[in-house]
Amino acid sequence: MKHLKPINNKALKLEQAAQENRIEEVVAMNSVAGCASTTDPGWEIDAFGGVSSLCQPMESDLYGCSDPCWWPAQVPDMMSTFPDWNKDAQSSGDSWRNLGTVFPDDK
Amino acid sequence: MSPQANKKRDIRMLQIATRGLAALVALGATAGMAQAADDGKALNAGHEYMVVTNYPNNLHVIDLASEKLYKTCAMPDAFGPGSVQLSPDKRIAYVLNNHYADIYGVELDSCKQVFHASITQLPGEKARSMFSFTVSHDGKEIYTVANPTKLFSDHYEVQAPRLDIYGTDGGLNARPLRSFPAPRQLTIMQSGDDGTLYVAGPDIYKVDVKTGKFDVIVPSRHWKRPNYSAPDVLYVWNQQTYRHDFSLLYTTARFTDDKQDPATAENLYGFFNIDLKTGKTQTVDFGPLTEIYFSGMRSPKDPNLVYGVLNRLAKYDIKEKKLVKAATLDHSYYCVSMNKAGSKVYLAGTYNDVAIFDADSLEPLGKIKLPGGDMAITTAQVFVR
Repeated sequence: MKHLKPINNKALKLEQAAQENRIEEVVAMNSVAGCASTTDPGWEIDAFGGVSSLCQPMESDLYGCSDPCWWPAQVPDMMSTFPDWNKDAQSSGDSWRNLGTVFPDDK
Repeated sequence: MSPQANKKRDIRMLQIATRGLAALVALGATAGMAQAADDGKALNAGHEYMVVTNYPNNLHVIDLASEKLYKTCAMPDAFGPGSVQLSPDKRIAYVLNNHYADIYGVELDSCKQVFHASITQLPGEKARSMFSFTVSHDGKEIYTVANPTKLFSDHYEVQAPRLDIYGTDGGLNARPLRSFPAPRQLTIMQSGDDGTLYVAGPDIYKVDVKTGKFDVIVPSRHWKRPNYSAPDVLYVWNQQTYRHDFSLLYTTARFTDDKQDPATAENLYGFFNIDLKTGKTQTVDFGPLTEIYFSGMRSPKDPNLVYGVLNRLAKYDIKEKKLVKAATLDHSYYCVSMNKAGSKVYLAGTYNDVAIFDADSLEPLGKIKLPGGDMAITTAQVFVR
């Protein structure tokens, strides 16, 4: 955590937990509700602050992210919550227009 | 609208729906017949193949001499991630699928399903495996790490992960022969020739599969390289290589001094490797970090060359620590593989085409378009039967 600075309350709490040696209490629940708590750059900006190392085109990266519930805020969690999200778009490059947004009621 | 008009509309809707359904059934039957013609086509001894999966439920076998699709087996249930592990005799493909919830074993010659285990095993739990499975060096056991959560009526409880070990003769409703507590965040694994299991996670562990004892064999997050940052690892391609390597790429920062200023650090790419024959480990920086690669593989022909892929296919000289050559790609690919001769590179994952490149010149040699949808985050395997 040496090079990271918390910028919101949740991150601050995580840092406090780490300082108090309570980090073990934070565990992922990836088998039920998803998912990653990652803050890796990915959909908006790459690791270098640019865009050339983002997947190209973004459709090619869609199911690689939605299947394992990688960025649940950006793409639906297909592992647990919306397993049929791409049933009408099995080939993302050809049929991405059939993909919709999802809401909790759509389950 | 009058009740009668409503009824007429309902009948009309029903007719349209029924017609649609009939068309679907007919389409399914045709696809099924094409499938059946393929099913019993045995693989040929001495031939080199690639197996790879894609949406909606395909397990493809590609003949690498002709670079054509040889056959397709239909998998049960849903896709994801579709990662393949081959039995040592290359007869059975084990696939983690159905949204990371089940492992299936499919006999490649007959397309017959011969094994199935649910990652969820205990009452009241729901469990998933994050790319974390393989078959033992002797083909007798399947190893997987289950990440369970217990579902209570008013709350969920995250349980400790466990290493579950199944017999490959466990049939279609296999139950673990042995189960052991496991560290968190475990992903890909491979079985060494002496029966040791190697599992990647925060560090890389060696596991005694009889006792369930985990020991760190390659420190990753906890490495002690002076003036290096902790490495960043995102590696979920569980490749069974001709070199018999178990490898993962990492990125790291090498600082100029103990002030550890990221602004003046040199960012590097490297790989961890375990030689599955000897158990010998390596942590090797191979070049500057200038772009991202999702997977990498050392050449079976020249162990001093390592290939990486995402938006470009790149080749590095490990000793010189420099980029030798790179090829542009028309879309991202996740998963790099090579033929036994080390003369060709195959790129899989993301969409539904496998791209072929000359391993020396990195010139494109063509593509194999697969029936079905995206390969997404699957792991392809290349092998000689």
